[in-house]
Formats: sequence, structure tokens, C-alpha cells
Amino acid sequence: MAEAFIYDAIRTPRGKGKRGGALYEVKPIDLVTNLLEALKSRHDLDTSKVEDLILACGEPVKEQGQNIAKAALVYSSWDDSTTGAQLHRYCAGGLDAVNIAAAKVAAGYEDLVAAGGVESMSRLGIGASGGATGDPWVAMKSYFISQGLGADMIATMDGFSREDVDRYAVMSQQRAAHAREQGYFKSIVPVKDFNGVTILDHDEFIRADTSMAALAKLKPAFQMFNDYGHGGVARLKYPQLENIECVHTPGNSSGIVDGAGLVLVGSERAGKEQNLQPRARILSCALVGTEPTLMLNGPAPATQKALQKAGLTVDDIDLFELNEAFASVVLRYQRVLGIPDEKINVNGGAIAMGHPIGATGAMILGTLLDELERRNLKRGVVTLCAGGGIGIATIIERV
Amino acid sequence: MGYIRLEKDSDGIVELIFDQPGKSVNTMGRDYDEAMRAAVTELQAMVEAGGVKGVYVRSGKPGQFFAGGDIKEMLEMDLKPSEAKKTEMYDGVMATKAPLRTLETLGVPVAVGLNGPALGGGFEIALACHHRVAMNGVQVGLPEAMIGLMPGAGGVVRMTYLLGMQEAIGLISQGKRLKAAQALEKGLLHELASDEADMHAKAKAWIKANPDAKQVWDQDAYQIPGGGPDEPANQGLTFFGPANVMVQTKNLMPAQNAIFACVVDSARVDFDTAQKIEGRYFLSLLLDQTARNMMTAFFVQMEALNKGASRPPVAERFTCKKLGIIGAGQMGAGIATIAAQKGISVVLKDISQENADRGKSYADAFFTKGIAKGKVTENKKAECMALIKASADYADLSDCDLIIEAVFEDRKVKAAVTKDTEAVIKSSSVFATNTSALPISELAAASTRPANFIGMHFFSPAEKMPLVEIIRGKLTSDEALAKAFDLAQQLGKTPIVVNDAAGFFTTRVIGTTISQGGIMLEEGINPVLIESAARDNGSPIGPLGAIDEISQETAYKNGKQAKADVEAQGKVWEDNAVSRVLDRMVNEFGRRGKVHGGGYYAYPEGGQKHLWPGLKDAFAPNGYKEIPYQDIKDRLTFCQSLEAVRAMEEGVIENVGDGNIGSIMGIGFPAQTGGAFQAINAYGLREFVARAQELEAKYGSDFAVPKLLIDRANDNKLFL
Repeated sequence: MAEAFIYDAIRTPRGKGKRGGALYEVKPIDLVTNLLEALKSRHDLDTSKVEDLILACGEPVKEQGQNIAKAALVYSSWDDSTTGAQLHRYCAGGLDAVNIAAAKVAAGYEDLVAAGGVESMSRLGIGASGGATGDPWVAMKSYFISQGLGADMIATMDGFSREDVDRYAVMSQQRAAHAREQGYFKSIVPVKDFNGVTILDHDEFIRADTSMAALAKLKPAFQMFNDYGHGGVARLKYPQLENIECVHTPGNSSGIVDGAGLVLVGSERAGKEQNLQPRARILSCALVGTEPTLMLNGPAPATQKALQKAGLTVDDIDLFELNEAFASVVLRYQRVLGIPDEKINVNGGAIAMGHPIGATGAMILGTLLDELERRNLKRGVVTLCAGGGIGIATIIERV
Repeated sequence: MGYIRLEKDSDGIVELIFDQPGKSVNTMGRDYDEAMRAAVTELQAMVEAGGVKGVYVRSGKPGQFFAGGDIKEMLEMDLKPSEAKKTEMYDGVMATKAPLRTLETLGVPVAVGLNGPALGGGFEIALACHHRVAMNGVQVGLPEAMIGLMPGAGGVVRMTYLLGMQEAIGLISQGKRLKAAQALEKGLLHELASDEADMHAKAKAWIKANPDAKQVWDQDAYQIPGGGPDEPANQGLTFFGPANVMVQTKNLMPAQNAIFACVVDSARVDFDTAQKIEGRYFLSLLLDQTARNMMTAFFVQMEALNKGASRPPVAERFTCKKLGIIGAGQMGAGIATIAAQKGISVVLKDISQENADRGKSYADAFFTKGIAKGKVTENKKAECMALIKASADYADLSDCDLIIEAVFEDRKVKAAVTKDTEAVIKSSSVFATNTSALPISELAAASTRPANFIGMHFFSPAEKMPLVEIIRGKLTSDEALAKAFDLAQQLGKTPIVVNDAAGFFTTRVIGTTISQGGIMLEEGINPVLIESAARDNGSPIGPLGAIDEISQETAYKNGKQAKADVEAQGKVWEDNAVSRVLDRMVNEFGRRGKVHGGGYYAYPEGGQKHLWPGLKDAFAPNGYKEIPYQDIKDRLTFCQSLEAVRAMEEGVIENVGDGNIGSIMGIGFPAQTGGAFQAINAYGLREFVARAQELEAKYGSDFAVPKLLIDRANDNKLFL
């Protein structure tokens, strides 16, 4: 089997995902083409050699609809020979796109593939594309509940208090603010308009001044779901839960933002042909399905599965990048795998910077790679939880 | 004579008259299908031939329109048919719907006259008519959900298309029966009539005035009221609705799930496609065990019970004009309240006038609350209150037709009251003692007329709880039993009849599950799981919560009394988990019950009750004992069904229906099982025995299988 190398990983900055956010005026397709043009110019890339573009999107409807990957290619300056596909694996999509690209390369089916994701949450918010689980019969058969309540269930069952999750959130904010200030986020490519005028060049969601006291004032975001029946459904599936302590707020959950991420994956030969320097190799990827009502416990088993495939253990990993969907997801992951704060999300995560659903997986892979390079470390894990109980993980190793 | 007659009047209106031969009410079964198909085909030909001004659908039975589906026919259907057979059943469902669609699209106006109840299938027929006229006071609605079913002849689709999703879901999934005036307000009826002649006249006048009538959903500009499922205004309904259904039913009632889904699915597509979807959901319930359980208990057995299956064949029906009640506590006052509401004169006696007056004020509070809710008028309250005489004097009981003694559960007090009462009442008057457990034949020892002495076990609060357990003592006469039975019905209660033994039927059955709760707590099982298991079984309250309501202190005292009783008889009292647990709760932890500030649960002011955290240290200091959750659930129900069979084996209960209805309505046995006996049928007799034996091996002799059950399993003889 051939090896799959990461030749580059870039992303847009993350804009606040609402009216007034810097990227609200930007169409999702332009978030993508900004990155396509940047990738092309950074490497003087012969785009005719890039065989496919796989893009994840959480709400693939309207201006993000159908196949935004091929639409963006046609709209961009890339060669017509590159084809494209849209992918949906809920929050895991952006990383899954990279994994699929790696799998095609490793299998020898293709040599050079771009992969990532895009999400304009300000223009197409959560739920914009509807969804099969919104059907009553399906929801009843599936014991469907609000995802955030699943995070509260983890906190309740694992005994994470409001203080615990808020403390984690403050740490995420402080780390992200520090990293932004120090310029650690090398993978950021500013979003520019068609005149070349920069619209946004930094993550604008971070709140450096966040404090425990300020977070404590926020109301639980999922209490309403708990009280309006979802809590009862959860207890039908988890009879040991007498009550759910609703500890998650907008302050300790991932933020709603706009953004896109793109990773260039290829074989050794393809890199040499275009004189590209590999930044890392992909050692293994894994997907798992876990209990879907609680939904968010996938990252630990996915990581274990990826480690096993790579013949590694937790101790062989220098840094972990786990999407901060909700604070309890990270705290549980750390507890299950025994990972200290110093090794995980060291430059903050989605609580501070936001989680543009389909894009996040590709974006945080770049964040991790930047930091491995900065610290001159070797291996890292990228992992996310996703809808339906999906867990995804990818292990990379610097070359 | 056929089921349906077609008669054309001089104005060219064809009357379609339902008159099922050999039945007092019309039902929707095979006979109907054939007759309706033929009738509608004939109507089509008549319309094509010309000269038909319209169709008037009505019943040929006085005061009866149409009762609904033929439940007995449904109960006979195989539950697990082959795929081919299922396809045939589905085709059958669609074939039942077809003539109604033809009827509403004949091209002539169709009116219906409802001269009596139109429930279920009957109302589905009415909904397929363009104009619905009903006589004042008749009941209409789609109550199928109450017996685990849903409408299958277009009722869900038509009600959804008529009223919109929200209203349709509410009415159908709760099986709402509406008085004609309410139905008119909702748009389910169009006109009310004072009598049959008026009804016929109004229906025909409408036909003549509306030659171009069409159903709203067949009109070009039709839009579903309130919009479809993707309408923003309906997001709350479609997003939270399913969760609410699941929470309300503990996801144990397939009918409620199917109805909700069918309404929403129907609103997504066109009318004719929706009919196919409805047929599929309906078929799934025809093949559903829960529906069978509920049809068996709430239709077949309930009907038999109400018709007097357990009443001795005493020809004369007793009507109580004056009822004496001794003991004006909550129980006595509650019975007095309901009796007055039913128009019976009541003497409410207690040891002092003050006590008796306090009992009467309970009734006052009840009716005042009724006024606030708009259910009772000031006049009605005054009438009812005037019927209750509070008294401290035995002499006031002298002309009562029947006496209910509701003093506390103390043999000596009850004996004294019996003597004092019998001294003043007529020798023919029945004396009923209200007790939940004391053997009637022993209490009857204090009576000089034991043939007239009987037990009537009311449940608290008596004005609300629908069941009365009538206990026949060894010497109780048929006449006395018939009178008690008739009185219970006069009070609007459902009577079940059992023979005398400690705990009768209901108390001994519920006692077993309460005991299991205590046993499991002492074993160190997580109390949250014990209570959740009861909830997930479909019980309205868990075994621990139930004790909190009674209060640990009361239960503890009852236990001590039981011990004293046993020892007084020279027998050895065997210590048990429940008494040990109660002893510790009361004496060690001071947790004496809800009214005393907390028991197994804590009751924070303004907050939700939650299990007392001290339970872990008290009963599982080294961590909870893990057993399969299904075992916890089964322990709580199997013990009850096994005890019910033991009661039957001992002759305490003779009629399966009494046991099923008694267990559901009296002690909260999960309704979707169809009752303590039907639960065994549903599980499968042999499978139930095997599972009970497994539980016995793991958890002891409480799960020993009575011989009667083993015999029945061997002979495959269901409890019916």
C-alpha cells in the first residue's frame, strides 16, 4: 500500500456565524475558492494533476447545495480536469474528506486529491437542510434528542460540574487568544473579495477576556430541550439517570461560525512531480459508531481504533486535537484515555474559535500540524464526535 | 334482509340506511364491507343513470348510528401472519376505505344523520359525508387509541385534512369523545337537530341547497389548516411532539406513536396517497400485541364486566336512594361526594358532629373546585350539598338502603361500629365494610346478619379512583352482593368481585411489587434503577415512591400489626426485607414518609422530588449491586402476575377480566399489558413460566410458579 502525504493544510479564519459576522457577506462558494486559489498560488500547483476535490458540508442546501465542490472548481481558476464531490458525515465530514482522499491515494486509485469542508452558518444555520431524523416516526424509533443534551448527559454521568466545564472553556479561550496573539495559526489564509481586498484575516470569535464569573452568568442552553420531552426520552434509554444536570451554555459549547478548510493529500510520486514538500504522512484513520442518543462518545473509541491500526499507543502521541463540540466531550475523552491538559487542544478549540460544522475536521488538522511543526514534535491525533454517535480519528506523523 | 338498504325518496334523494341484521348496533366488519361495496356500486350506477339529487346516510336502528369496528373479528386475527397474508390484510384495509372515497366523490351531495353515538368506524363513515347533522347530545369521535388501535377507514386522514395536524393528533391520540355541541364548534359536525325528524329534514334541505358539494380536500384551493410539517409554525409540534408522546406513554403504546406519525405523514402528501399510508400504520396495529392486550381488557372484558359478568343472577336491580356512610375521613367523605354527585341522599356519620361536618366540607371543596374548572354549576353544587347530611347520631342511619363503613383499619373499632349500626338499620339493609385487607368473614363475626355483610374496597381518593373491589364473605348472600355491585355502578365505578382472603386480590397483588422494591433496595440495587424500571414497565408510580405516599411510618406500623397478629395466633413471624428496610428508614434515618417531610425521596420546596441521596450509604455502602436491568423490570411485574395466578388458584378471584381490570384500574398495573393475567398471555404462557423459573433460581421463591400456571402452560390454555 502506498503512503498518503499531507502536502498542505490551509483554512480561512473563522467569522462569527451570524449577521454582523465578518464573513456573513461572503458566499460559501467564495470561502472555498479563496482557499483553492491560495493553494494553487502557494505551490504554483498544476491543478490539472489534482484529480478530485472532496468537500464536506453540514447543510448542503441552497447556496451550499448540490455539489459545492465541483461548482467551486468550475467557478475558480482551477483546471476543468479536477472533479468534485460533496460529502456529509455531520461534524466529522471535514476530516472524513481528508481520510477518504488519503484512502484513495494509499490504495493507488488516485495520486493527488484536495479535501476539506465549508460551512457558512451565518447564511445557512443549523437545520437549514432539514434532515431525516426530523421525521416524527424516525425520531421516535431512533430515540432522537437534542445533541447538546447528550453533552449534558455525559457531564451528569461522569460527574462534571458546571465549574468543571466552565473552567475548561476559560482555558480554551486563553489558549486560543494566546496562540492568535503569537501568530501560531500559520494555516490561516485571509478571505479576500474579488478585488483582492481582505475581508477577514483572523479568528474573530475568540473572547480573550472570558472569566469564570462571566461564564457563570450564562443560562444552560439545553434545559429547554430537557424540559420539553428530550430529557424524558434520554431517561428511557438511560434508566440510571434520575435527572440531567444541564451544565452546557453557549460559553462552554462550540461556537457558531463561518469558515472553510482545505488539505492537499497525495502520493510520494505526485509530490515529487510538482516539487511539493510533504509536511506529514497519514498513519491511520478510523470511524466508529457509538450509542446514538447520547451521540458524543465516539472520539475515544475512534482514537483507540486508529492507534491500534497504526500499532501505536496513547503514549506515542505528542498532541491531541479533539473538536470542542462541548466541554464535557473533551473532559470525558481526557479521562477515558488518560490525556493531560498539556497535550490536548493546546491552542484552544471550537469553544473559543467556533465550529463551522463541515469544515472543522480539515481546519483542526491544519492547526495540529502547525503546532507539531512549531514544537518540533512528531505525531498527533485529530478526532471529532459527530451526529448519530459517529466518532472519527486520524493519526498524522511529521515527515 | 341486508345490512344496507337504498331507498330513493320523491325528491330524488337516495337514503343509504345501515341496519345490520341480528345486532342492536351496526359494526364495521366483513358484513359491512360487502354490503357497503355493493351499495356504493349501486349508487354509482344510479347517479350515472341520472335523477339522483343526493345521498342521505343514516341508521335504521333507533337511537343508534354506528358503533365502530368489529373488535372480536380483529382479536381473532393471527398476530404473526405470513407476508402473503399480510398483503391480503392490507388489501382488505384498503378495500374497506374504498367505498367511502367513492361515496364522497359520487358527484352528488352526501349528508349524514347521526341519531346516536358515532364512534370509531361510525364516525369515519360520517367524515366521508359532505354534511354532518347530529342529534343534540350524541357522542362522536375516534376513540380507537383507547384500546390500542387507530382509525383505519380514513378517519386519521380526513380529520387531519379537516382540522390540521395539531388538533387531529390531540383528538385522535387521546381518543377524545365529543358531545355533538363540542364537535360542532370544532367543525366536525355542521348542524345539530332536536329529534330524528328534524335531523332528516335538515340533512335533506342541505342536499337540495348544495348540489355542487365537495369535500374541502377535493376543492382546488385546498390547503391543510395550519399548514404542513415543514411550516415554521409547526416546528414545535414535529420536533418536540414525538418526544412528548414517548414520555407520556413511556414508549409503550404503539398506537400513539403510529397516530402521530400518520397525521404528519398524511399532511406531506395528497389525500389518496395519505389513505395508503394510514392503511399501513393501521395494519401494524392490527398485528400488535399491545393493541390485542388493550382490546381484550378495555373492550371485551370491560364490556362483560359492565354488563354484570361477575354479578350474581339476582333479577331485581337495586337502586340506592339513601346511603349511610360511617367515618367522615378522606375515604368516607370521598364516597359521600361521589354519591351526592350521582343524586343519592347521604348520611355522613362520624363520632362527633364536628368530624362529620369536616367530612362534608371535603365535598364542598370538591364541588367548588369543579366550579372553578367550569365542570360544575353553582346550582348543581347546591343540589349535591343538600343531599349530604352530616351527623353524629346512629339513629340518622335507620332508613338507609345501604351502609358503607369507612372507619380505620382496626378490627375492634369496626366490630363496635357494626354492632351499633345493625341496632338501628333495617334488617334487609346491606352493611358494607370498606377495607383494603382485613378478611371480611372475620369482620362479619361481629354481625348478627352476616348474609348482609360484605366488603367494598374503595380506592383513595374515592371521588376519582374508578374501581371498587367487592369482597364476598363466606356467608354473604347473592342478594347482598348484587346490591353492592349495583351501588358501585350507580356511583359510576367499575366493580370487580373477589372472594374473601387476606389482602383480597388487589392488595395482595400490589403488595408483591412493593415487596420487590424493598428487597431490591436491601440487596443494594441502585434505587434509581428500581424506580425507572417501574416507570419503564408502564407503572404510574415506583414501589419506593408508593411507600412514600402511604408513608414509611404507616407501612411500618402495619407491619408491626401484622407481626402481632401472626404471633397472637401462636405462629412464628418471619422477618422480611421490607420490614427490615422500613425499620431502618423510620428508626435509624427518621425518614417517615412524604407527609413527614421525606422518605425514599426528598421533596425540596419548589423543586422536583428526587431520591434521597442517603439511600446509597444506607443500603449500598460498598457500591451498588449490578443485575440486568431487564431483571429489575421483570421482578416488579412477574411477582404481580404470579400472585394473581395464586389468588386464582386459591379461589379468591374467578373471572380473568376482574383480575385484569382490577389490577390496572385499582393498583396501576401497566395498562398496555392488558392486566396481570393478560400480561402472561402476551408473554406466552410457556415463555412466562420459563422466565419465572429463571427469576426464581436467581431471586428466590417469590417467583415460584403456581401449579395452575404450569398446568395452563402445558395445555396452552390462555387466561381469558
